[in-house]
Amino acid sequence: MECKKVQDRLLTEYADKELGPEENTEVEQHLIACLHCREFFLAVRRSAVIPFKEAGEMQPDSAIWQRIQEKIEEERARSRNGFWKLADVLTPFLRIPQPIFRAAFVTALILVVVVLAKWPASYADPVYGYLSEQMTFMRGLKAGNTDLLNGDLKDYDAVFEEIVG
Amino acid sequence: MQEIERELITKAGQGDREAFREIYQKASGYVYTLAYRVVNTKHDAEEVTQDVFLKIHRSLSSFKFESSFKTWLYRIAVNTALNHAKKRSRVTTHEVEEVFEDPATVTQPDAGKRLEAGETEQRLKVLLDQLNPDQRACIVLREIEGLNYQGIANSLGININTVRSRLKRARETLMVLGQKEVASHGV
Repeated sequence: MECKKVQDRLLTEYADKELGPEENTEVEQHLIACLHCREFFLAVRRSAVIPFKEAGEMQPDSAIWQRIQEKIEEERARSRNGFWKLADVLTPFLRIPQPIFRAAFVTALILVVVVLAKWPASYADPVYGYLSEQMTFMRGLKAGNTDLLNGDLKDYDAVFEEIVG
Repeated sequence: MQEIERELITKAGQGDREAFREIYQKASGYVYTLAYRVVNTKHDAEEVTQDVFLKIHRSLSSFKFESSFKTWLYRIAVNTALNHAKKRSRVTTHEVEEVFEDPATVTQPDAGKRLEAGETEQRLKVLLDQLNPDQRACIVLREIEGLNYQGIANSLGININTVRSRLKRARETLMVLGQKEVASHGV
Protein backbone atom coordinates (compact mmCIF):
# COMPACT_ATOMS: atom_id res chain seq x y z
CA MET A 1 0.00 0.00 0.00
CA GLU A 2 1.34 3.47 -0.90
CA CYS A 3 1.82 6.22 1.71
CA LYS A 4 -0.89 8.41 0.10
CA LYS A 5 -3.51 5.66 0.39
CA VAL A 6 -2.38 4.75 3.92
CA GLN A 7 -2.63 8.39 5.05
CA ASP A 8 -6.14 8.59 3.60
CA ARG A 9 -7.10 5.59 5.79
CA LEU A 10 -5.25 7.03 8.81
CA LEU A 11 -7.41 10.16 8.59
CA THR A 12 -10.62 8.17 8.39
CA GLU A 13 -11.41 4.46 8.75
CA TYR A 14 -8.22 3.44 10.57
CA ALA A 15 -8.56 6.23 13.15
CA ASP A 16 -12.24 5.34 13.59
CA LYS A 17 -11.78 1.53 13.65
CA GLU A 18 -13.99 1.14 10.59
CA LEU A 19 -11.54 -0.83 8.42
CA GLY A 20 -12.06 -4.48 7.55
CA PRO A 21 -9.53 -6.87 9.19
CA GLU A 22 -7.51 -7.40 6.00
CA GLU A 23 -7.00 -3.73 5.20
CA ASN A 24 -6.42 -2.97 8.88
CA THR A 25 -3.51 -5.44 8.92
CA GLU A 26 -2.13 -3.92 5.72
CA VAL A 27 -2.14 -0.43 7.28
CA GLU A 28 -0.53 -1.69 10.49
CA GLN A 29 2.24 -3.44 8.56
CA HIS A 30 2.85 -0.24 6.61
CA LEU A 31 3.02 1.76 9.85
CA ILE A 32 5.67 -0.60 11.27
CA ALA A 33 7.83 -0.07 8.20
CA CYS A 34 7.20 3.66 7.48
CA LEU A 35 8.37 6.33 9.95
CA HIS A 36 6.79 9.14 7.91
CA CYS A 37 3.28 7.57 8.13
CA ARG A 38 3.77 6.77 11.83
CA GLU A 39 4.51 10.45 12.47
CA PHE A 40 1.53 11.41 10.31
CA PHE A 41 -0.77 9.21 12.40
CA LEU A 42 0.58 10.67 15.64
CA ALA A 43 -0.18 14.15 14.29
CA VAL A 44 -3.73 13.07 13.36
CA ARG A 45 -4.34 11.79 16.89
CA ARG A 46 -2.70 14.80 18.57
CA SER A 47 -4.55 17.45 16.50
CA ALA A 48 -7.87 15.90 15.59
CA VAL A 49 -8.74 13.03 17.91
CA ILE A 50 -7.33 13.37 21.44
CA PRO A 51 -8.57 16.96 22.16
CA PHE A 52 -12.16 15.78 21.79
CA LYS A 53 -11.72 12.89 24.22
CA GLU A 54 -11.34 15.38 27.07
CA ALA A 55 -14.68 17.07 26.41
CA GLY A 56 -16.98 17.17 29.40
CA GLU A 57 -20.74 17.67 29.68
CA MET A 58 -22.07 21.17 30.27
CA GLN A 59 -25.27 22.28 31.98
CA PRO A 60 -27.56 24.95 30.56
CA ASP A 61 -28.59 28.02 32.53
CA SER A 62 -31.68 27.47 34.73
CA ALA A 63 -33.45 30.28 32.83
CA ILE A 64 -33.75 27.94 29.83
CA TRP A 65 -36.19 25.68 31.68
CA GLN A 66 -38.26 28.74 32.65
CA ARG A 67 -38.44 29.83 29.02
CA ILE A 68 -39.41 26.31 27.89
CA GLN A 69 -42.18 26.19 30.51
CA GLU A 70 -43.52 29.57 29.39
CA LYS A 71 -43.56 28.47 25.75
CA ILE A 72 -45.33 25.20 26.65
CA GLU A 73 -47.98 27.14 28.61
CA GLU A 74 -48.43 29.50 25.64
CA GLU A 75 -48.91 26.51 23.33
CA ARG A 76 -51.40 24.91 25.75
CA ALA A 77 -53.39 28.15 25.96
CA ARG A 78 -53.42 28.40 22.20
CA SER A 79 -54.61 24.82 21.82
CA ARG A 80 -57.59 25.61 24.12
CA ASN A 81 -58.57 28.72 22.15
CA GLY A 82 -60.66 28.03 19.03
CA PHE A 83 -59.24 30.97 17.05
CA TRP A 84 -55.63 29.95 17.68
CA LYS A 85 -56.52 26.32 16.91
CA LEU A 86 -57.75 27.47 13.48
CA ALA A 87 -54.70 29.71 13.07
CA ASP A 88 -52.40 26.77 13.89
CA VAL A 89 -54.15 24.63 11.27
CA LEU A 90 -53.85 27.38 8.64
CA THR A 91 -50.33 28.55 9.44
CA PRO A 92 -48.54 25.75 7.51
CA PHE A 93 -50.48 26.73 4.38
CA LEU A 94 -49.36 30.32 4.79
CA ARG A 95 -45.73 29.30 5.03
CA ILE A 96 -45.36 29.22 1.25
CA PRO A 97 -41.72 29.07 0.13
CA GLN A 98 -40.55 32.42 -1.26
CA PRO A 99 -39.93 31.28 -4.87
CA ILE A 100 -43.52 29.94 -5.13
CA PHE A 101 -44.84 33.17 -3.64
CA ARG A 102 -42.86 35.21 -6.17
CA ALA A 103 -44.05 33.06 -9.09
CA ALA A 104 -47.67 33.46 -7.92
CA PHE A 105 -47.22 37.22 -7.64
CA VAL A 106 -45.75 37.50 -11.16
CA THR A 107 -48.56 35.33 -12.61
CA ALA A 108 -51.20 37.50 -10.89
CA LEU A 109 -49.50 40.63 -12.22
CA ILE A 110 -49.48 39.28 -15.79
CA LEU A 111 -53.18 38.39 -15.49
CA VAL A 112 -54.03 41.89 -14.30
CA VAL A 113 -52.05 43.44 -17.18
CA VAL A 114 -53.75 41.17 -19.76
CA VAL A 115 -57.24 41.90 -18.39
CA LEU A 116 -56.58 45.64 -18.32
CA ALA A 117 -55.17 45.55 -21.84
CA LYS A 118 -58.30 43.75 -23.05
CA TRP A 119 -60.80 45.89 -21.15
CA PRO A 120 -60.92 49.04 -23.39
CA ALA A 121 -61.60 46.86 -26.45
CA SER A 122 -64.83 45.67 -24.86
CA TYR A 123 -65.99 49.26 -24.59
CA ALA A 124 -65.41 49.69 -28.33
CA ASP A 125 -67.47 46.57 -29.03
CA PRO A 126 -70.62 47.43 -31.16
CA VAL A 127 -72.83 45.24 -28.93
CA TYR A 128 -71.65 47.14 -25.84
CA GLY A 129 -72.33 50.45 -27.62
CA TYR A 130 -75.80 49.35 -28.73
CA LEU A 131 -76.82 48.07 -25.30
CA SER A 132 -75.51 51.18 -23.63
CA GLU A 133 -77.61 53.37 -25.94
CA GLN A 134 -80.65 51.18 -25.34
CA MET A 135 -80.28 51.55 -21.62
CA THR A 136 -80.05 55.33 -21.92
CA PHE A 137 -83.14 55.27 -24.13
CA MET A 138 -85.12 53.10 -21.65
CA ARG A 139 -84.04 55.26 -18.75
CA GLY A 140 -85.25 58.32 -20.67
CA LEU A 141 -88.63 56.70 -21.34
CA LYS A 142 -88.99 55.72 -17.70
CA ALA A 143 -88.30 59.32 -16.75
CA GLY A 144 -91.26 60.36 -18.98
CA ASN A 145 -89.28 61.81 -21.91
CA THR A 146 -91.71 60.87 -24.74
CA ASP A 147 -89.82 63.07 -27.25
CA LEU A 148 -87.47 60.19 -27.64
CA LEU A 149 -90.22 58.17 -29.40
CA ASN A 150 -90.25 60.73 -32.23
CA GLY A 151 -86.55 60.52 -32.74
CA ASP A 152 -84.76 59.42 -35.85
CA LEU A 153 -84.13 55.68 -35.68
CA LYS A 154 -81.72 55.52 -38.63
CA ASP A 155 -78.75 55.33 -36.34
CA TYR A 156 -80.13 52.28 -34.55
CA ASP A 157 -80.67 50.53 -37.89
CA ALA A 158 -77.06 51.23 -38.76
CA VAL A 159 -75.95 49.73 -35.46
CA PHE A 160 -78.10 46.63 -36.07
CA GLU A 161 -76.59 46.20 -39.51
CA GLU A 162 -73.14 46.48 -38.07
CA ILE A 163 -73.91 43.76 -35.53
CA VAL A 164 -75.56 41.36 -37.98
CA GLY A 165 -73.26 42.08 -40.88
CA MET B 1 -26.89 11.08 29.62
CA GLN B 2 -28.80 9.41 32.44
CA GLU B 3 -31.10 6.54 31.51
CA ILE B 4 -34.71 7.62 30.92
CA GLU B 5 -37.36 5.03 31.77
CA ARG B 6 -40.05 4.13 29.27
CA GLU B 7 -42.76 4.84 31.86
CA LEU B 8 -41.49 8.40 32.31
CA ILE B 9 -41.54 9.02 28.55
CA THR B 10 -45.09 7.62 28.28
CA LYS B 11 -46.29 9.79 31.19
CA ALA B 12 -44.71 12.93 29.68
CA GLY B 13 -46.31 12.06 26.34
CA GLN B 14 -49.69 11.99 28.08
CA GLY B 15 -49.13 15.54 29.30
CA ASP B 16 -47.64 14.91 32.77
CA ARG B 17 -45.66 18.11 33.48
CA GLU B 18 -43.61 16.62 36.30
CA ALA B 19 -42.53 13.72 34.07
CA PHE B 20 -41.45 16.14 31.35
CA ARG B 21 -39.49 18.20 33.88
CA GLU B 22 -37.69 15.04 34.98
CA ILE B 23 -36.82 14.22 31.35
CA TYR B 24 -35.46 17.75 30.97
CA GLN B 25 -33.33 17.38 34.10
CA LYS B 26 -31.87 14.11 32.86
CA ALA B 27 -31.30 15.11 29.23
CA SER B 28 -30.73 18.88 29.15
CA GLY B 29 -26.97 18.64 29.82
CA TYR B 30 -26.59 16.18 26.99
CA VAL B 31 -28.67 18.26 24.54
CA TYR B 32 -27.02 21.54 25.54
CA THR B 33 -23.50 20.10 25.20
CA LEU B 34 -24.25 18.60 21.80
CA ALA B 35 -25.82 21.89 20.66
CA TYR B 36 -22.90 23.93 22.00
CA ARG B 37 -20.36 21.79 20.12
CA VAL B 38 -22.23 22.28 16.84
CA VAL B 39 -23.25 25.96 17.09
CA ASN B 40 -20.19 26.92 19.16
CA THR B 41 -21.71 29.85 21.07
CA LYS B 42 -23.48 29.88 24.43
CA HIS B 43 -26.43 31.99 23.23
CA ASP B 44 -27.12 29.82 20.18
CA ALA B 45 -26.75 26.61 22.22
CA GLU B 46 -29.40 27.92 24.63
CA GLU B 47 -31.78 28.72 21.76
CA VAL B 48 -31.22 25.26 20.26
CA THR B 49 -31.78 23.56 23.65
CA GLN B 50 -35.06 25.42 24.05
CA ASP B 51 -36.18 24.50 20.50
CA VAL B 52 -35.22 20.85 20.98
CA PHE B 53 -37.24 20.45 24.18
CA LEU B 54 -40.25 22.20 22.64
CA LYS B 55 -40.06 19.84 19.65
CA ILE B 56 -39.79 16.88 22.02
CA HIS B 57 -42.75 18.11 24.05
CA ARG B 58 -44.87 18.37 20.89
CA SER B 59 -43.92 14.93 19.57
CA LEU B 60 -43.52 12.80 22.72
CA SER B 61 -47.09 11.54 22.45
CA SER B 62 -46.29 10.05 19.04
CA PHE B 63 -42.94 8.49 20.07
CA LYS B 64 -43.33 4.79 19.25
CA PHE B 65 -40.18 3.39 20.94
CA GLU B 66 -39.02 2.04 17.55
CA SER B 67 -35.58 3.53 18.24
CA SER B 68 -34.06 4.29 21.62
CA PHE B 69 -35.10 7.60 23.20
CA LYS B 70 -31.46 8.70 23.21
CA THR B 71 -31.09 8.07 19.47
CA TRP B 72 -34.32 9.98 18.80
CA LEU B 73 -33.17 12.81 21.04
CA TYR B 74 -29.74 13.27 19.44
CA ARG B 75 -31.25 13.14 15.95
CA ILE B 76 -33.55 16.02 16.87
CA ALA B 77 -30.77 17.84 18.74
CA VAL B 78 -28.06 17.55 16.09
CA ASN B 79 -30.37 18.46 13.22
CA THR B 80 -31.86 21.43 15.08
CA ALA B 81 -28.34 22.61 15.96
CA LEU B 82 -27.10 22.10 12.41
CA ASN B 83 -30.02 24.04 10.90
CA HIS B 84 -29.46 26.81 13.43
CA ALA B 85 -25.71 26.96 12.66
CA LYS B 86 -26.36 27.09 8.91
CA LYS B 87 -28.97 29.83 9.30
CA ARG B 88 -26.56 31.75 11.53
CA SER B 89 -23.65 31.38 9.08
CA ARG B 90 -25.87 32.76 6.31
CA VAL B 91 -26.62 35.82 8.42
CA THR B 92 -23.06 36.50 9.54
CA THR B 93 -19.81 34.78 8.70
CA HIS B 94 -18.54 35.19 12.24
CA GLU B 95 -19.95 36.07 15.63
CA VAL B 96 -19.18 39.65 16.57
CA GLU B 97 -18.99 38.80 20.23
CA GLU B 98 -17.40 35.50 21.14
CA VAL B 99 -19.00 34.03 24.25
CA PHE B 100 -17.06 31.17 25.74
CA GLU B 101 -18.85 28.64 27.87
CA ASP B 102 -18.35 29.44 31.54
CA PRO B 103 -15.99 26.77 32.92
CA ALA B 104 -18.15 26.63 36.06
CA THR B 105 -20.98 25.08 34.07
CA VAL B 106 -18.81 22.23 32.84
CA THR B 107 -19.43 19.19 34.98
CA GLN B 108 -16.16 18.81 36.87
CA PRO B 109 -16.07 18.27 40.65
CA ASP B 110 -13.29 20.46 42.08
CA ALA B 111 -11.87 23.93 41.38
CA GLY B 112 -8.61 22.73 39.82
CA LYS B 113 -10.45 20.47 37.46
CA ARG B 114 -12.92 23.25 36.62
CA LEU B 115 -10.03 25.46 35.54
CA GLU B 116 -8.66 22.65 33.39
CA ALA B 117 -12.14 22.09 32.00
CA GLY B 118 -12.29 25.78 31.09
CA GLU B 119 -9.02 25.51 29.18
CA THR B 120 -10.23 22.34 27.46
CA GLU B 121 -13.46 24.07 26.48
CA GLN B 122 -11.61 27.04 25.03
CA ARG B 123 -9.31 24.71 23.13
CA LEU B 124 -12.29 22.76 21.77
CA LYS B 125 -13.98 25.98 20.74
CA VAL B 126 -10.91 27.08 18.80
CA LEU B 127 -10.72 23.70 17.06
CA LEU B 128 -14.42 23.53 16.21
CA ASP B 129 -14.36 27.12 14.95
CA GLN B 130 -12.04 25.98 12.15
CA LEU B 131 -14.75 23.73 10.74
CA ASN B 132 -17.97 24.39 8.88
CA PRO B 133 -21.25 23.30 10.57
CA ASP B 134 -21.50 20.05 8.56
CA GLN B 135 -17.95 19.00 9.45
CA ARG B 136 -18.51 20.04 13.06
CA ALA B 137 -21.62 17.86 13.36
CA CYS B 138 -19.72 14.84 11.97
CA ILE B 139 -16.74 15.37 14.30
CA VAL B 140 -19.02 15.83 17.33
CA LEU B 141 -21.05 12.71 16.58
CA ARG B 142 -17.90 10.68 15.96
CA GLU B 143 -15.48 11.96 18.59
CA ILE B 144 -17.78 12.96 21.40
CA GLU B 145 -20.87 10.80 20.92
CA GLY B 146 -18.84 7.85 19.65
CA LEU B 147 -21.16 7.01 16.74
CA ASN B 148 -19.88 4.86 13.89
CA TYR B 149 -20.08 6.01 10.26
CA GLN B 150 -23.46 4.36 9.67
CA GLY B 151 -24.86 5.95 12.84
CA ILE B 152 -23.67 9.40 11.77
CA ALA B 153 -25.10 8.88 8.27
CA ASN B 154 -28.48 7.85 9.75
CA SER B 155 -28.57 10.74 12.19
CA LEU B 156 -27.79 13.38 9.60
CA GLY B 157 -29.65 11.74 6.72
CA ILE B 158 -26.56 11.67 4.51
CA ASN B 159 -24.54 9.09 2.59
CA ILE B 160 -21.81 7.14 4.43
CA ASN B 161 -19.23 8.37 1.88
CA THR B 162 -20.22 11.94 2.69
CA VAL B 163 -19.60 11.21 6.37
CA ARG B 164 -16.16 9.84 5.50
CA SER B 165 -15.21 12.82 3.33
CA ARG B 166 -16.46 15.37 5.89
CA LEU B 167 -14.44 13.69 8.65
CA LYS B 168 -11.38 13.60 6.40
CA ARG B 169 -11.65 17.29 5.47
CA ALA B 170 -12.29 18.23 9.10
CA ARG B 171 -9.22 16.34 10.34
CA GLU B 172 -7.04 17.76 7.57
CA THR B 173 -8.11 21.26 8.65
CA LEU B 174 -7.41 20.47 12.31
CA MET B 175 -3.99 19.07 11.40
CA VAL B 176 -3.08 22.25 9.53
CA LEU B 177 -3.98 24.23 12.66
CA GLY B 178 -1.95 21.80 14.79
CA GLN B 179 1.09 22.20 12.53
CA LYS B 180 0.80 26.00 12.65
CA GLU B 181 0.68 25.88 16.44
CA VAL B 182 3.68 23.57 16.63
CA ALA B 183 5.58 25.91 14.30
CA SER B 184 4.63 29.05 16.26
CA HIS B 185 5.58 27.50 19.61
CA GLY B 186 8.75 26.04 18.15
CA VAL B 187 7.91 22.60 19.59
